[in-house]
Amino acid sequence: MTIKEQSAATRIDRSKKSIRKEGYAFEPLRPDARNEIPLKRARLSPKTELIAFEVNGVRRVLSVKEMVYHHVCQGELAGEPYLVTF
Amino acid sequence: MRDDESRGLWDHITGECFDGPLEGKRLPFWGVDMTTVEAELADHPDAILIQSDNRPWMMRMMSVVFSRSFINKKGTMLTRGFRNTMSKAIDSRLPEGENGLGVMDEDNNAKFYPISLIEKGGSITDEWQGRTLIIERGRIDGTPRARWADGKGRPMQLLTRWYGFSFTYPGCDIYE
Repeated sequence: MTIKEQSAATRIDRSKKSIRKEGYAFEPLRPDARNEIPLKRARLSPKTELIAFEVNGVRRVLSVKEMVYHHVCQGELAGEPYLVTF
Repeated sequence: MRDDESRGLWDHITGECFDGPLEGKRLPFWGVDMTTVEAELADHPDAILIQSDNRPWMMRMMSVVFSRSFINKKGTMLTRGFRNTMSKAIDSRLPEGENGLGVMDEDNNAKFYPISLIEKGGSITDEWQGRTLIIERGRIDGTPRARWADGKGRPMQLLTRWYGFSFTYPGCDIYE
């Protein structure tokens, strides 16, 4: 089997899945403009780890420590929906 | 990962739906940069941070649990419970905790570049999928990033440990 033929459907053992019936194990981050602040004003140490991403040339950063909890950040930027996973 | 609308299950790395009414569908995907505050401000002084307004006790607890830096570090903390979710043995071609940059495309072609083979602040050049790829490690954050030498964008990429990448892209190429 070539790598191309190994889709997620054949690669993942579904017998091991564990799915919650309702709600989330980790609440996704669903930001709007109120969640955005200049990075230089944030009270973060220089070594704080970030996830940076761009949508249609517009860049944003997320704190890794916050994404360790949320796992997913879902929003809209520059007119495009996006989903960042961790 | 499950979506609320179809209740289908999705691979969060490849963007493929593997269970549910949308099985076989795939979302367009692109890479993110792992970096640090000082490195980001050096290159993007007007960077905007998206800050969570939800800081429950679990989030603070996980912040402590995961307080150690993982960028450029070796070693893994795979618990027995986590290992029990694995459907097969980890690919033994590299140490399971080897950190590196995985580069992939939408046909599931993939190559893993161990971070230990790239000097901090330096770069390597490689031929992949008929194109020339340049992988540079940041001089401040030490994080590897890949770009096409022809200037036409960047491939999909992921800073990852070997065990996770080799499960997602079994049989992938390894840079040596």
